[in-house]
Amino acid sequence: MAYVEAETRQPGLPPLTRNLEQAAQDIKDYGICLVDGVLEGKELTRVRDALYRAAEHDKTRGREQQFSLDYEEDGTNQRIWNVLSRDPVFEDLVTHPAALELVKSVIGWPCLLGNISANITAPGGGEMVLHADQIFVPEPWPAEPQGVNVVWCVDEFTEENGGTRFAPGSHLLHRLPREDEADTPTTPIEAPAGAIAVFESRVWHKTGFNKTKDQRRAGIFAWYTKPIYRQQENWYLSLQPSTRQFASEEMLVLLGLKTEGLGLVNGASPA
Amino acid sequence: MSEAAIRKESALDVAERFFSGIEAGNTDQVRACYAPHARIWHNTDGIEQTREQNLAVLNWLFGAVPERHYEVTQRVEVPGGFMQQHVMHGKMQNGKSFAMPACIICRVEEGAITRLDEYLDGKDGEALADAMPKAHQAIKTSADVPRAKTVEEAKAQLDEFGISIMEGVLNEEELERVRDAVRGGVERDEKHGVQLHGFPFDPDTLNTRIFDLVNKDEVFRELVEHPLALQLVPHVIGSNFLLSNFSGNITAPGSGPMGLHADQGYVPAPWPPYPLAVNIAWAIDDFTVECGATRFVPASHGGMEGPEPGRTDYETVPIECPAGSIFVMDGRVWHETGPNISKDKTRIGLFAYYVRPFLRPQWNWSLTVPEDVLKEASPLLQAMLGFGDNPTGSLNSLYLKNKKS
Repeated sequence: MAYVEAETRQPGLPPLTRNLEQAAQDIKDYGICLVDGVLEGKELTRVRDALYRAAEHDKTRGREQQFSLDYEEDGTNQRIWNVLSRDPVFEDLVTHPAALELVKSVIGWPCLLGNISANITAPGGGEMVLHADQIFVPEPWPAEPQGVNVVWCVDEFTEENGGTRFAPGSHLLHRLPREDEADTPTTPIEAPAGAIAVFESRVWHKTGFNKTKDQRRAGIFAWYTKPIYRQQENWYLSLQPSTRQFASEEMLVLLGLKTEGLGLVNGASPA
Repeated sequence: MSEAAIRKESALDVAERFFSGIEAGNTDQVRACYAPHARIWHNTDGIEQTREQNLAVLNWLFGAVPERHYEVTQRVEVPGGFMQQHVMHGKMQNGKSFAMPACIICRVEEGAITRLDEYLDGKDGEALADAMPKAHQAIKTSADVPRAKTVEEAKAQLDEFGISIMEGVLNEEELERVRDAVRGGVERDEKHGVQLHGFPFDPDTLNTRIFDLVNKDEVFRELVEHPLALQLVPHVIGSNFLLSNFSGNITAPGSGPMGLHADQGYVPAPWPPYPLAVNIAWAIDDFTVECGATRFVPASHGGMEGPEPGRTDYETVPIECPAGSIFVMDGRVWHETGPNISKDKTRIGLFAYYVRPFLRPQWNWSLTVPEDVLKEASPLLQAMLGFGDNPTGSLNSLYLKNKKS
């Protein structure tokens, strides 16, 4: 594999940490960091219950939507969109101080919430195609990463249950994987429920196979970008109104409702 | 070799890769030797080229001089780069041979050439330099600005010059309809206290800016979807695009220049070697130097970044055209509203600004387009306003797809 040469090679993923400075450094070195114990106890239970409840609602109403980077034949993994509107508890994840501190260390402020969706892998669930999240940014890429993804481990992530797989250090190559690099060796995230993984938009990754017989594994992906990019989720059309009504200043910026230069209404910021 | 390993090369390794790339006629290899923001200068014309402009000249050279060889007299590493003295031997397509002595001084940073100054010497050198294409020098006055009679001609001019004027698109009757709608819109905004003057990007409070044209009158929606626009916009930025903004600027006597910018200036450099945006400007009144015709920097679309902030010594050329014309600008073109130096003339210009679909529009259509306008809009207009499939990332067909379909 071409990419593993020279200094892009990092042996595996960085260890779990509770030190945010170390975590920010890990993102620079590996393209990803793992932070332990961000959600604990009742808070974690509330998030988990709310997510599985939303998943159940979608299933019973036939509202599941697949993602084009998922394999066609994959009928097992479940995606849940517009997670922010499903329960107020998800607002806390979007603006969680630890997550936002790491997001800002990668893409600065102001930035936008491009999407927050969940992926629940299930036994037999297939892999995703290896990709970098800033796939839509034309190459040559600007010097800095243009987005950052915060993965909330709602369940424990293991290799067996389809923990997201990474090519550590691949962000230093500063480009998308080529077709012949689809089989680049990857390392799965292994982290307890309540941990987060924060990874910048250039690092190559994919969902792993769920090889278990009976485990579902939920992860919530909050995707943030620099403010020049169009949000994946159209919050103006889909956001539950009370989320906007009670939104903090920070949340208004993330939703693109408090804005400068782009996304204006009558020449001014909508909020 | 991995790209990371390449970053550790010495200046002399870069020199070797650079000249062997030119000898082999390998454009990609040469491009990889230049930093995206590299500047290339020759003593023969004193012009600073961007990387892509220089590669265009080299591509010409590869065709015109199929056999090339460098006889290197000396190549030495100097602080911050390398210097090379050589004689370039070439055999041209017409069979004639030449030997061109030259000296090159290169600045190399992080394994890439950031600046190249080349001194060509001798008659052969001058002859070759004279034979080179000089598209970027061609536009010096208003009369040189490319004008197209057909869509195909306009497309070719956009590719080469980043700009094209088409005259006689709207007739007098249509122009009157547009002027009425502009007048009506300004009156309505005034009545409602909507800001019309003194925006941060204007130098003074004299010009009138009118926004939200799509929602103001049907005639503006027709312009956004004008058949010419629908042929030229996809040519420049691809068939999946968004309308980012549609606004008007009415210059007033005494108003100053706007300040040079590229429309895609908010996208961080280096830009990709193709445009991310395109502007279709509608001249509703005559655009003359006197009344503040838009001015632009010829060949600026070949670069990978906007003008240096605060620098004002760029030479600009006015885009003059009669009422009813459109002019189309690649999003990379450096331009500005010209000063209105007339005593009593105003001019209306309308600017329909389209972007590739991953860029966030300047105007938030989701929050502003009224239900009835949306209902009457064609599927294409709906898509342009972002109400179609969400095409973020569609460059790689990253659509959501419904499982059932």
